[in-house]
Amino acid sequence: MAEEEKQKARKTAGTWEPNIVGFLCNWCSYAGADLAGTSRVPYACNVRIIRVPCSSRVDPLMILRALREGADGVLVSGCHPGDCHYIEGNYYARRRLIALKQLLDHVGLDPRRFRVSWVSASEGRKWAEVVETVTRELLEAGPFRYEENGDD
Amino acid sequence: MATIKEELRAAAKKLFDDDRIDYFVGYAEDYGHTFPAILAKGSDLSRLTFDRKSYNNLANFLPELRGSRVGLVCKQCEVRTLNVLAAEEQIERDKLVVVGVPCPAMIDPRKLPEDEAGLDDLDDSFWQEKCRRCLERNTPFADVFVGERASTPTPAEGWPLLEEVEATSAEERLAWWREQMSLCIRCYACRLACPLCYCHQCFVEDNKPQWLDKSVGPENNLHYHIIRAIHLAGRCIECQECSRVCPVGIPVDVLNNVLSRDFAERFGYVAGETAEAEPALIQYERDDKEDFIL
Repeated sequence: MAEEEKQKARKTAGTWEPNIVGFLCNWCSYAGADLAGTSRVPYACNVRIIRVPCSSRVDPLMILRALREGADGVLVSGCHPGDCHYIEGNYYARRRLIALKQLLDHVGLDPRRFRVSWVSASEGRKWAEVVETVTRELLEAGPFRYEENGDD
Repeated sequence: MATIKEELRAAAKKLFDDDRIDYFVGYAEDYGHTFPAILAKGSDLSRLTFDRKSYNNLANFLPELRGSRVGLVCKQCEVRTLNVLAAEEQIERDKLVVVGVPCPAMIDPRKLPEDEAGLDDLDDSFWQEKCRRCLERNTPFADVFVGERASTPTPAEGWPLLEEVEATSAEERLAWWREQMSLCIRCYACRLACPLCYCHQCFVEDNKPQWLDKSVGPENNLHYHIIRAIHLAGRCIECQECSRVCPVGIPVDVLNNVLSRDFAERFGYVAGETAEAEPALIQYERDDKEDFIL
């Protein structure tokens, strides 16, 4: 996405910037994000990265808690299926995340709030693109809250 | 139904006399009600019964009777629960005597008209919702079987309430669930009544980290119910005890049904169908369908 277009999208949405919590697996996605940095690939600075040992470390509780604590979106990223450092961790993670996704979709949560991607250690560019996409979508979706007047 | 009561009492008496069990878990009747009962040795067995209001899932009592030898009255709900518990190594099969009963399909008292006469002839509009989807009315691995074997039912297709909710838009669903969740007082009756919620420590009681606020609110409650459904993903056997016991009448099992249906379609997995099947979340296929990943 061209820089001007990006600015335009941000302007129409006002000065607000989304907060994204990213759960990244240590072996692939975190290294991929690192590569994006060392290769000087520019991308949106909205994602706050939490490094986890494996994508299967990500409990659905963590994702919901992030949303409760003020995140506008959550991005979970791990090794491509078949590339897991622990051989099969991401296969288990995938089933669990599918279950969470089904429930969040069912209760009517905006699907843009919770994204999953596979990013390998050599895919710095892909990581930048994923973050750009997620940020752009969340800019369109706006701040996350269940209700205008807050909750609880 | 007189014969099945007598047979059941005789079977329980024989199990106690032969010293095969310490407790007998079944249904008792009193004042016109049927309710679950745990009978110790020497108890009065004359109140034991099995009728069309024996809808509770008795397998819920097994974890607290762990270590004892138990005779358990089993209809299909208990059978599927036992299969899941066995796969999770939560029951000691050599200490369990399965007393099979033919299930006549249970009645939902909330659907009954004022006049309660003739429980036996009620058609399926008075049934418990779970009984409409039941696959089998007999107990396949009973150690003792009482009564006459029932005929194989024709299970109803679909999930009426779930489909009704899903027919609306995402915004309407969120509003509907918020409304339902604003009723929830988090008494955790759904957790207590669930035969597969047996953890000694539950995430809702955790303080460090504290996953949920202790206070009640729609968002908190919704997150509790979502995680509850996740913890039952690929395990829920659709006995609907959670919805039945809800004091404010939230159909919480709809969330479980979302996953039951999806797992059946996506992974071809039905919880508790066989004793051999591994729980869905501790197995995987390399080519599991992933349709939302960037």
